[in-house]
Amino acid sequence: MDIAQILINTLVRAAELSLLAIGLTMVFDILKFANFAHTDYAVLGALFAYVFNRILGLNLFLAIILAAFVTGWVGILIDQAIFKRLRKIGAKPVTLMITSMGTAIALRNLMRLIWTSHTKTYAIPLQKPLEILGARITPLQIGIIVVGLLSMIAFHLLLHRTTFGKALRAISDNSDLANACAIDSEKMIKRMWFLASAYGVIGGSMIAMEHLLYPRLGFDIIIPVFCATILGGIGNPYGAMLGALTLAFAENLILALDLAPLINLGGLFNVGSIQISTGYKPAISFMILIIVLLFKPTGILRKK
Amino acid sequence: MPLLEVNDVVSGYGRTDVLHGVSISIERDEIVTIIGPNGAGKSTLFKTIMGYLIPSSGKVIFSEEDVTRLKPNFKVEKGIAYVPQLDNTFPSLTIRENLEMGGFSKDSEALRQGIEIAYSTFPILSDRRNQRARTLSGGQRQMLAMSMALMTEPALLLLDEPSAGLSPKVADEVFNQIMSLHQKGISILIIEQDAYRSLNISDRGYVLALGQNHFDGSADTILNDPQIKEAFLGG
Repeated sequence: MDIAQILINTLVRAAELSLLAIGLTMVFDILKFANFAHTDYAVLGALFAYVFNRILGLNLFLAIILAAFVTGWVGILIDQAIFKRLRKIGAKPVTLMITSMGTAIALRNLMRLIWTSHTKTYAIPLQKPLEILGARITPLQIGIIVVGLLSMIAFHLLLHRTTFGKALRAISDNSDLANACAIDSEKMIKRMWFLASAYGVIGGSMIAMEHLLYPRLGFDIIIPVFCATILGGIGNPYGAMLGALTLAFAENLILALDLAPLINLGGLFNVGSIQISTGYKPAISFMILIIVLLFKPTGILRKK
Repeated sequence: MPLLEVNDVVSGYGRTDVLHGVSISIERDEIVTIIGPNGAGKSTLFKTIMGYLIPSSGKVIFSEEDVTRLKPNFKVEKGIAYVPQLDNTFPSLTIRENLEMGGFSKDSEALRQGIEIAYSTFPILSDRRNQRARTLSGGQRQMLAMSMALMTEPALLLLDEPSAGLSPKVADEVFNQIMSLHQKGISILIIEQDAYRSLNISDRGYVLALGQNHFDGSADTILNDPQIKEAFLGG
């Protein structure tokens, strides 16, 4: 695989991961707990998009937007029903985290109950890849990169140009002072859940489009999403983007490496090219996660 | 009727009470200073007035309305503003954004006017409007914090140790500013370590000790009472 192909694959993967990592990091930043159900919200949304697209026959793009909207409300509802009650009694972050694990299990099995564990696909016609600098890219992948990029820009503008975004940054800086500024934190937290869940749905649907969709998908992507978040510096949305990009590059580079020279030992043997199986992709993020936690637990972009 | 009345309040953190029945009041147009040693419950009293802490008994009455259980953001909308002691600005937000947060409940026109007033009162804030608040010096930060609190046009301002960590010269500036706010008709309640300076501009004062009212009277009485002088004003 040449470098152009590695870069293209990196951009596609980074777009998917950063959309998921942003929501995870935002919830951590504001509510101080890692939401283990985050990727399951995303898959729930991807399944909603499947219903809108395959059963109601809606255009896929519209189906995903609608699913993101619906799941945004699900994120708010779950918060009101579960996390808000715990916040009110002053529960510790670890309690919230364990609760989110339970929520994830319940949600995953509820999805299996409704949609069965069979894999599903969206109505996407088979696409002929285009060639750019010798690398292959499908129109769908171009779409994923563009949507990913636009979402990141939109997120940046939201944080810096809107009252909601500024209030969110204020709460992140100092939540007590934010309350003394007449900022209604609970209202902002609701909007944050909507945003985190909706962004996650776009990322989750992208992964489902590129691969397969099934209720357990959320569990299968949790490690790379957490890895990207922690690698970038948990709590920092720009870190989440950078972490996603770094992890995506590492994954694609390692999968593209030709390991034959290691075996051939300078002509001792004569083996053709050897590559790591793509089945080991999750192991790469696991490895990076362990290395980051060992040597730089604050991530690349430390908060504040 | 006083502007603010704190009635026999028992309050604290979790199961530990810090205030064991404190009562204070402040009339409109008054400056009142609360002094007392560390651990007397001064900051706890402010947090209880603001609604960060809900008292287990007693009442907080503002403008003849019982606001005991109201959350801080609603208290601000009622007209109580609070400047905490140290972390009183948002370090990663720009100065302009900090002021916008101060006037969060205002519509955009009132917000714009409020920011203009803050800029003309403290030109330094205008010069550095697009810089992050963490780049400000201690004195500038205190100016920004007070400007933020004033964005809501409060009737009552709570200042927690406004001169903490400032040089005497800058502290003088802060107290001048407090007096000019008072002239605009804002009632001010101050907790202060530098009790002399604060009592000098106050109408009345309270002395808290061990979470209870120890003494209260006119500022002059407190400044001239030999016992209080020895015990609380450092001789």
